[in-house]
Amino acid sequence: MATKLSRRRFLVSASMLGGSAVLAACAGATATTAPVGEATAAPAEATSAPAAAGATVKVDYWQYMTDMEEIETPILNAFTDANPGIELTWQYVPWQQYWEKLNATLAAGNPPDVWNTAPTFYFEYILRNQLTDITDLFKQNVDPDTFYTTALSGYDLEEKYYGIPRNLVTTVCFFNQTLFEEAGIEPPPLDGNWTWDDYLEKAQGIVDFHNTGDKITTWGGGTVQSVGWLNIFMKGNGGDPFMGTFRRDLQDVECDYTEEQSCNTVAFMSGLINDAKVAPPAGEFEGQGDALLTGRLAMNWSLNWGVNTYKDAPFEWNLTQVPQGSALPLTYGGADGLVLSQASKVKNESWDLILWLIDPVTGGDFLTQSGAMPVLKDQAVLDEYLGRHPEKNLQAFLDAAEVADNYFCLGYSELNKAIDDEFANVYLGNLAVAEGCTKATAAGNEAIQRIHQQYQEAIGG
Amino acid sequence: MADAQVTTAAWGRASSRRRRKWLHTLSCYAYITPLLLNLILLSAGPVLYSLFISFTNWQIVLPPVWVGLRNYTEQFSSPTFWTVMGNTFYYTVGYVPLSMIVALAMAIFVNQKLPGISLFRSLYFLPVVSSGVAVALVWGWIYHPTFGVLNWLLDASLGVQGPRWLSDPKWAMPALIILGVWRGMGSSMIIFLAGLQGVPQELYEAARMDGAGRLREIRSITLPMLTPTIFFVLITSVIGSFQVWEATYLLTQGGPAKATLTISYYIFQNAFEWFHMGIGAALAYILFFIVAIITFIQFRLQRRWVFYR
Repeated sequence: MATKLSRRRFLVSASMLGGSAVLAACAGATATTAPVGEATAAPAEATSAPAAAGATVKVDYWQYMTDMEEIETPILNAFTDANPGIELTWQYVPWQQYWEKLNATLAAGNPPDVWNTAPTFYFEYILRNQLTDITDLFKQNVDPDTFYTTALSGYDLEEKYYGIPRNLVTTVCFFNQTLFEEAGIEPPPLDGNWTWDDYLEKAQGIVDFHNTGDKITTWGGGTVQSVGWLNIFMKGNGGDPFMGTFRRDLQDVECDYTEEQSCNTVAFMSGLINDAKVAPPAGEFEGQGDALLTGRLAMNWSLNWGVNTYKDAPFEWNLTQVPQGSALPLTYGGADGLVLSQASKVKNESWDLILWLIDPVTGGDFLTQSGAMPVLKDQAVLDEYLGRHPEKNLQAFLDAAEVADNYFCLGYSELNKAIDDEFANVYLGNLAVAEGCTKATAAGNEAIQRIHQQYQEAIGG
Repeated sequence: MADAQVTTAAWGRASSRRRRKWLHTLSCYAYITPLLLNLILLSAGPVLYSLFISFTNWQIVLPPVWVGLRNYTEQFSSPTFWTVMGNTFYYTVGYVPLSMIVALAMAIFVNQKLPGISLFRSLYFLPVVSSGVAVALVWGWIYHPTFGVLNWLLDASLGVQGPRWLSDPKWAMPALIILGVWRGMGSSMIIFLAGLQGVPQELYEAARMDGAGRLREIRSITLPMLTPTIFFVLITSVIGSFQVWEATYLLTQGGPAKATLTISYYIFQNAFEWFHMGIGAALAYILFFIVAIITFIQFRLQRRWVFYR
């Protein structure tokens, strides 16, 4: 007997079938999700086990310098060719998403084995016990004394190393030689023997020559606003914004920007904009890429990447060290480096990759082609570095590396942001220098306390 | 016996009715099952979990540590939080009335029966569907202090030297408000347009017969008839303005000197730049409660000025 299927009955059946299908799909998803965890664990063991029998092990590597992909890929391919037992995978993730994605993988328990790091986000990972202590491996394979002190200074914590520096960058002064020649002004000395007063004088000369009327379109020189760099220049002028209390884990650290030398440094740097009017105010070069490259700025502070940035500039350019401080010739410097995940199940192979990348023979192209400086004081390596651009004063980087310093620490970007926000009003001309220094001190100390408390509490310290 | 048969039959009918009712109920639930699952798994679950997170110190990669109400109480003693709230209210007070007036004016304009009017409708709606990054790039150039078209226009037409729109703390927020109005006016315009087209034409005809002019028509017919739509746009605009994030992220990153640091961006900064997830979650709940209270007040006040037909 045929049963008539009413519209209502059909809809009821269909919806129930649909609901069941959704439930089944969800159940299916759970069923497939569950083995993923096992699957991730299983291959790790599987890769470790057959490795001895000649099978391949997997090593995963992450890098945030996306513009280096073209340069680094041949180095990674060469590593794979030289190590048939290792299956190397790698990812280039832009800086803005890098740490977020990395943290997600750490939370999920499957971080990359090796990742590129900067001391900006480094100490957090040490305190969370997510990096392998490589102090012994490091000392067995490389002599730390052959490294530039600056390069190592961002990577040590209580005489232990959890990362190894790979390339060094320092702040130097790049200048547009053409603008100086047109104005008939002597460009900055290539031997780095000049002062901040010399800098101001040259900048003033450029502004006076290249502009007519009230509107300034060609500027003499940049200023330093970011406290990460400013701290070092304060120190060069005889100040100590951390009053001798600085520790990279921020334990018992205090800052003070009201002391005379620190405050004077801020006054000079903001005065370049507001009083002398030789430095461009905030926003002047917004959206125009590199300020020096516009041809409307005679001198600017930049890291080693400038060598690559300015290589096709439509004007003559060169570089020299930053002016000497009244107390010390100091500049900012630090190294990008490589770390080995604590969660890695293939630490030996990962360490092989690290050695390959930092070795000047196998990984040297990364340095020579990017403009970043070698971290090793090996004369042959340095000669090759200098030889890449013999027409430019790359010696300035080598000299700067000898006097470079940094205050990398736990929560570095958060701390700097808190202080920068207060100094910003001084640079904008909306706040007196002394008041700005007082506010920056308060904001800095509040941030130090907060960052330290948050991390100590999180790690159960 | 007959009584017994009647009772059995009645019982059978009742049972059948119950079965049909039960099947009907079951089918209703079956219909909403996909949405219900979506709500529980993808909305309610994360919402409840984020509530829990707001009471913890959670650095993502370590287990959360319970800190009670600290993430909330610390905000109220933080000067940055009050700066952030002040900025958020500033944006709301600037954005909401301006965007509604502009959108309503545009809706009245495009509600005309003119040749090519649909082209104007599309053009006004274009900013809504444009990429946020592209919009930020273009407006970055428009606002440029030296080479920007806005300052050039101010100079050429009024002889005024324009401000440093995005790098002066006094002008950065107005700059974001103008951008917000430009970007959001299209969607409000469409809603207003729908409202306008729902106003009965006979009301206008009657008014015209009584000698009413165009302005009088707008004041006495259009606006009162449009109050439910205005109320809807007001609610959504206020909520949207409290959540402003994209323009801040792309153009000012909360600067200069915290002048455009709004609560949504502050949440992002805490949670995804510094990985203080607990603080980020607490700020999100503070935002939720503020928006809920303001919306509640708006609903209470609507009785006084919204006319439903």
